[in-house]
Amino acid sequence: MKLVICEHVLRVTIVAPQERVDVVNAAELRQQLMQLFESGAANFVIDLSEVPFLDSSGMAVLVSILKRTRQAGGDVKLVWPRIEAARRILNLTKFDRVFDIADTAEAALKLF
Amino acid sequence: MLIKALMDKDRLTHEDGEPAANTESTVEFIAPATFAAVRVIDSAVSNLLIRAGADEFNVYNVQLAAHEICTNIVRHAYAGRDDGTIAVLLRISHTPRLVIQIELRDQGRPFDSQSAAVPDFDQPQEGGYGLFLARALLDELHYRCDERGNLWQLLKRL
Repeated sequence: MKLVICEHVLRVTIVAPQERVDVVNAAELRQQLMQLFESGAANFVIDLSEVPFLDSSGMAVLVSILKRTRQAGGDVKLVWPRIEAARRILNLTKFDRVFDIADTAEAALKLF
Repeated sequence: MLIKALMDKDRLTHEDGEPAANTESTVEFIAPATFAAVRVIDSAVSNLLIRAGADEFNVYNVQLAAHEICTNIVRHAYAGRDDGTIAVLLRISHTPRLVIQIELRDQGRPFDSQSAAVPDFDQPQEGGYGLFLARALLDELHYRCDERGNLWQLLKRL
């Protein structure tokens, strides 16, 4: 039997901040994500489950890396923050329309 | 230390720890207009609300709203100046409903309401969510500019 068999391995980088993401450290997160992007990572899971506080500056970083990765044919999936109020912020700003958001990093990986 | 002056007229709780009815607590301080100080201000908001018995959800919402307004003051009103200050007044009252009022005064550039359009949610953008969030999370948000500078007044009924 003639067969063409291809194995496609998708590289996904999981980034899980462990502290609040706000105007004080958003630039640092942006820089670290851009370093990963420039070193070849184009698909990200950004796991917000352990982020206790997320502000608009942190959200801007998420949009920034989303745009860069999609331009490169990649994508960004999110993991919902554990804190209910932070989840609501993502609803209010319609981020759940722009991003695929999962309950866990494992579930987010399956969204690719 | 960041805070120049602190006044805490705390009559919020009875000895048994239960919130008292018809009481008021006020905290005032002046912070430098820096992003690091924004965290100090939003933590003060959070601490005051926790002590007053507010639930986690409301604490987060009011903390974030105050945080976003302070961030805008540092980023836009002072726009790179490093000598600015934010005068903060936090007032909590039980009447008997828990109400928090926050006043933030600065001497930076006046707020330009033209720059505060509602975000386009269909086109993800890297800015413009801060004021939108503050408006969405509060019951009232007022701004005025007078001879003493800019004054933001935030109010949330819990």
